[in-house]
Amino acid sequence: MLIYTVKRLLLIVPTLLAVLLLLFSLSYLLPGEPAEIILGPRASDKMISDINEELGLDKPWYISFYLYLKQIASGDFGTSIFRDVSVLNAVLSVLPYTLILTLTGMAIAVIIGITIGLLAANYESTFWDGLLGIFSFVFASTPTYVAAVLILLFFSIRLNILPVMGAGDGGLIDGIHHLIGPALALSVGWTGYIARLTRSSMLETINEDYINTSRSFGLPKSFIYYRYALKKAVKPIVAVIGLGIGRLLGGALFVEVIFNRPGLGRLTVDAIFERDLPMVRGGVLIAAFLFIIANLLADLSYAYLDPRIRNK
Amino acid sequence: MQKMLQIDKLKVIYRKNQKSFLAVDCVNLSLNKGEVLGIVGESGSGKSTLGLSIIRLLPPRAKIKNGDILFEGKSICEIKEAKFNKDYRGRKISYIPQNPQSSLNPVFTVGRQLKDIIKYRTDIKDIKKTAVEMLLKMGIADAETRMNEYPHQFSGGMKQRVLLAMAFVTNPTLLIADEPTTALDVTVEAQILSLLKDLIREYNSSIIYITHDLGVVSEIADRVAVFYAGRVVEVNDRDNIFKKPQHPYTEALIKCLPDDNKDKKLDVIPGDIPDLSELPSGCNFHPRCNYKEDKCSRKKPPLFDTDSGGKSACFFYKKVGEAL
Amino acid sequence: MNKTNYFKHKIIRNFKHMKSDYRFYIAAVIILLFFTTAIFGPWISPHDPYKTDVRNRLQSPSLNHLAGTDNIGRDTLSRMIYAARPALYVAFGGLFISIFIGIILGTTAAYSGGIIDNIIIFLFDVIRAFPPIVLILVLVAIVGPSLQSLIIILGITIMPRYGRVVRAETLSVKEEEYVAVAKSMGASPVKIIIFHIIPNIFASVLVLAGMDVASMIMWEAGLSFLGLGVQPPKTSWGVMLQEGYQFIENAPMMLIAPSLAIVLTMMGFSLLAESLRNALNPKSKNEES
Repeated sequence: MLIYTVKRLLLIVPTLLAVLLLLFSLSYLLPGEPAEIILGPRASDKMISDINEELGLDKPWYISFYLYLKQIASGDFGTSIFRDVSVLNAVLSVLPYTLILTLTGMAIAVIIGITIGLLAANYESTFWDGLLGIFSFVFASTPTYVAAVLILLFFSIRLNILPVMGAGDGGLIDGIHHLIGPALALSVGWTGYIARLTRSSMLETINEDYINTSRSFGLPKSFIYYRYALKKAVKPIVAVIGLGIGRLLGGALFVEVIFNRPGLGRLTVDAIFERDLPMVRGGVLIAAFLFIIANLLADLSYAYLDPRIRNK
Repeated sequence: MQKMLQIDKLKVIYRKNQKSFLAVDCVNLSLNKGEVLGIVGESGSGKSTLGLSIIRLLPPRAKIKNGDILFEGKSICEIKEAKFNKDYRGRKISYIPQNPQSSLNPVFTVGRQLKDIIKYRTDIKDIKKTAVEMLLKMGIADAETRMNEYPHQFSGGMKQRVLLAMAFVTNPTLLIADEPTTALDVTVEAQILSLLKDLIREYNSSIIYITHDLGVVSEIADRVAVFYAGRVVEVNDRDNIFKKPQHPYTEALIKCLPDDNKDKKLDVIPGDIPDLSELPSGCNFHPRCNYKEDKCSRKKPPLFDTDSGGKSACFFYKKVGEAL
Repeated sequence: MNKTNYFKHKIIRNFKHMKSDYRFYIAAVIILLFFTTAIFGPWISPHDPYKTDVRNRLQSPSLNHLAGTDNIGRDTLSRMIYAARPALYVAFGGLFISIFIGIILGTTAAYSGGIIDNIIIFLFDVIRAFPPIVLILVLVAIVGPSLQSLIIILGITIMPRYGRVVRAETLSVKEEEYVAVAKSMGASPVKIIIFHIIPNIFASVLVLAGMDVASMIMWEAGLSFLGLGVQPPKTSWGVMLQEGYQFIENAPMMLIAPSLAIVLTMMGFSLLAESLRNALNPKSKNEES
């Protein structure tokens, strides 16, 4: 397990380097002269060369890449072109919103999804199983942005029970109130997915020989179901949670835009539309980093759950 | 005398692809206290279904159509499921499954699984000590440490020992062993068999030992019932069966056994075991039988009482077995 | 029988299985509807999707406008019908690109081995390390938003899936006898790849593609919604969703109509994918002990 973990950790380094290289090359790939976009057509040569120096465009690419890496390593992500804020501060100030949104969305998906899945498995091949199955399938086929606009439409506009936009006034209750709609929207697809996964995994497990063994020894039914079978059946679910967090991080972008909520996704989208290069780089780097971490956790949790790998 | 187990005209019906057929067809069997009954038959002959109906764990597509199973004089078909699960399954009747490889839960330690059985299915207070003792008794050295290991760290034979511990720790009246050694190597099989024999002596349990291997039966059983296509074709004491089989199928099975004394080629039974949903007319065995005559394909033979005190479902049971 | 032939064989054998699968029929109906709409849209749509009619703006559904009208009086149903086409373009164009590049890179990697193999694998890993949405955003920023760039970008983003499968399958097919025979007869690697390997791995690639159609359609609408895909006044379910979002308080049909179209299409292709997967792996249900 230890060797596996170390190996998996070492793999992060080249991937992060590649991400950084792509982000760095953005200044060469983006159409138009960055300095002109920022300053407009009537900028003086001095201003242009200042900006170029700031962006590292006046040196050969490998030197500026080295400087860029050094800068990142020292924790300096640069300054936003349009607003006078450091990129790191801007990113860090919205990051908690995205993390809370993503984790809440995942928690909702796991809790509701597993519940629906267990119910469906318990009532296998009955009317309820069919109904829950249709629900899960429709949920799983609903993209996050569709769920978000529909929740906004029905709960915020029509029924007027949820706030329309923003993340609240900073108070806890108001914050939670503002979180419900976005988190639900984010969770819809994965709720359906986890429900379906739980059902099929549970049904597969309770047909295993060892569950029949437990039955033949007359152990109480609920004990077999919720202890012996469940622990095995949730394994594939735990394995996809890490993956799901990565996906939900991406979905959070749509939710943040639609609910007009501060967050990493919206920051990056806005920066792209404004062509705020340092901001784009900072946002993407942090997003990619989170994604890599989520994937790492997914792999490690799966390895941990399998005693065959864990004991190695 | 009161029989411990009495199976009375049992019929179990299976549904498969909209067809239904009898997996167990009108079977009468009985078992005395402390007796070991070997049930022999090819796969698909309904012998496992019989075992599962006794412990009432038939798959959903199988159903007892009619007939009765009396356990200690009480019809188990009439006991409520909750009561049966609480008082019988695992307590009075234990079941040892076919495939030890897949019969232990891979995500719990072996000790945990054994201790759960002791905790929920016996009144023993000192759970941990009993678990260790049971494993030691099953010949698992270093039981204390091995309790904390997972099933994948155990070999097939070791897993079967654990399952035996689970089966015997509740001190069952009746034990159903469904091909417990089939999946194991020959040497391991011999070890498990001798362990099982010791356990039978110690616990004085009655056992239904289901197998396709007549050789194993000759080692362990007091009485033998031979199954063919869902029916009992012959029942007799072990010695009588081997000395003078009175059904052509039994005779053919014995001829298939490897024999140390004779240097002859092993026989094979010609033809295939019939599909239970497309049984031949008359006697089920007649297409493969050496003794068949015209009436075999027209009439189903009843179970005749034989001279040696057994039963045989063959019109010509008197002629069979002379050649051995 | 080699592995991929075996795979093909399995599909054919299990087509019977698929035919008895109700999901397959529902999927077939939805997908047929989608294709019909995308191809014959101009002939079946009741109105001109671009014709504005400001006097009849933001109307509720009526007999004339079954799904109402939008903020400048265009018929929502007609726009919905026309929007099937960009979805089709992106889904199949994007998949075509990823399969094309995937096959080139995958076979090259499997054939060259060594450092080239490692570089290509690393390229796949890097692309997969990005959250898809972030990679797409960055790429859109570089090439600018349009239907064409969406096709290319989505194609590149999901390409590693195909590249890896192609590489793995090529590695196993490469060892087959008939490939060795072709090689001994002096066929060049390019010829072997085109005539022997690609026909053999195509079945598995197509199955994978069948599973990706739904997510491609989802991405097209999502990115168009953000303004990073199809540009208005051209229509796309995502563009319609964006317009509906702006008039969320006045005309709910503008949101509901494209939402339905997206969800229904995704359901159709997911059902197809599931029924395909089931046909390849018909476990449990029908098995007897």
